[in-house]
Amino acid sequence: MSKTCRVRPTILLATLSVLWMLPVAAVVYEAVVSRSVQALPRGAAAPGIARAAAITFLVSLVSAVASCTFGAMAGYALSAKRFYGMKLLLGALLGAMFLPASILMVPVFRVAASLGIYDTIAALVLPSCVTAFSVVFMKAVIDRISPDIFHAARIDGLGESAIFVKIVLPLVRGPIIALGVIEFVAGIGAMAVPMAVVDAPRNYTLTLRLLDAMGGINPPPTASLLAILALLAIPSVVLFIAKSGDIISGLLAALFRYERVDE
Amino acid sequence: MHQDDLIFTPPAKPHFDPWAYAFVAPAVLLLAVFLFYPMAWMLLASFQEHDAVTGAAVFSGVSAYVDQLHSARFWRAILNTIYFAGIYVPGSLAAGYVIAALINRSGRWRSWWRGLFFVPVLLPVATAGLLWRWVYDPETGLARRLAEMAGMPAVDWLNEARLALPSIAVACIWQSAGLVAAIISSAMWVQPREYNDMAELDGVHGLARLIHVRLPMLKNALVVSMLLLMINAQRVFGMILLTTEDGGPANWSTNLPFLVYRHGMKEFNFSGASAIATLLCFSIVLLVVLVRRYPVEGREAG
Repeated sequence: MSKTCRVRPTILLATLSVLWMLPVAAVVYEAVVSRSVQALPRGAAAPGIARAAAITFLVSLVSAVASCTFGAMAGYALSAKRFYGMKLLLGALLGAMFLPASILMVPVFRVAASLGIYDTIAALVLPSCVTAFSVVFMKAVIDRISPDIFHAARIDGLGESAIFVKIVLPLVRGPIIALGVIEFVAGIGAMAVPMAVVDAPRNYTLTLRLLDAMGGINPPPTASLLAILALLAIPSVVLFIAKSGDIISGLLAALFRYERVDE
Repeated sequence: MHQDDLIFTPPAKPHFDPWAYAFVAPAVLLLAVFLFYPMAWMLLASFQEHDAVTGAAVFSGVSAYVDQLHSARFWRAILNTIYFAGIYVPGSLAAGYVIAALINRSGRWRSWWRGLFFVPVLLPVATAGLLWRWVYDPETGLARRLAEMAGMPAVDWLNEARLALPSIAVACIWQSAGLVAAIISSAMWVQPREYNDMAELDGVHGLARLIHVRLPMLKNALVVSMLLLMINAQRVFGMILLTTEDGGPANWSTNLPFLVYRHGMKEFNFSGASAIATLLCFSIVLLVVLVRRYPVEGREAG
């Protein structure tokens, strides 16, 4: 292969990536550099922003940890075990996985109201404690492990819960962190469920605060709101850079029938 | 029969496995309450009439669906979705293909580049929506500054009836292309090079080789990407809410999920919202069934 063939794609890629990252770079410049002294503090000082940021962070964290746990448990059963109703469950999960949360706002509001948790933090956390996606994702990931390993462990006398904790979880540590990042990010950006289950401003998440501020009389500058959202996204971006391989391979396997060809 | 066969062969048939039920129980319980029950309620509510004051429900047949068929807003939303998909699906496919083709030739930096273009995919919806709201801001936005640099007149992208939806589509292409690139590049990675080389020897070049050799080999990856994009085109909600708030000038950026939200949360027309949501569910589930029919071979590491 001649040298030009190696160099040209890289130049094109660099140009394309500059174009791709231009909006991000420009907004970082806007928020951090050009108004460095104002944007962040002004955003943080806006009424209720700090509280909303704390709620968003905690809700996303708890629901990400919960959906990793419950998703891994259910994914393991769907992958390694054969039980009545598994096909029905898997079909329902695949069908529901792609539905937009926004179309279920009214019934989710009604469920929260009848459980007596409407307008509480619990109503923000519980609906995202497990997602259809997290179960399908973990099933796809555990499908790649040879079932012989589980059988061998069983013969060695390990109990069912010990197999899950000592064999399955360590083997899927990378993908679980990947799923955690995906769910955490989804939690930060979530709009439909918070809009449906929360009313009082003291329970607002950052996105609700944002929508509220945008419709207000004297909205804070977009750049400062964005600066705060970006701040919250930093931990996930860092984790993403570390785990991008697991995120991408898990995502592909969960979204469609991805048959991975190994070397 | 050898004893090992008995031990190492997993039971092929479904049976009553208490441990399996214990493992799926928390997920199934939560999903039943917050996903499957709401879906069932939605289906039922689409055949009911709801009293605005008492909330009492009476069976009303398919009248909610008939009402929608006579509603101009409903058809506007469907046309908007098709219009949006017409820009978003080919746009994301083309951008994803170009990125994939380039990163697969970039040697050992491949996974780094792929990760970079994947960042928008994982950006929180609220962040991405706000980002593009700022890009299109008629006074301080990036689009205006670029236009000024190029000496073009400033355009209010999101408040111009015919421009709102294409502007949102561009933002969504920006978010999705990284995923399409990941799908196509992992499929490209396992393609045999021989056909391509043979075509080159036979003097098939450029566009002809792309259409007759390269794209057919990627058929399943392209079909799956297209179907996933078609699903996504029907789901867009956060981006519309954050960029145009009320569904755009004269409903020009209102799509079906947004109409469900308007009916359900703003106008308390639960039957109407449920009817549209049910139709949307059928359309999405149909595409999901299609997606599962195309296995894609690939390898993402390299």
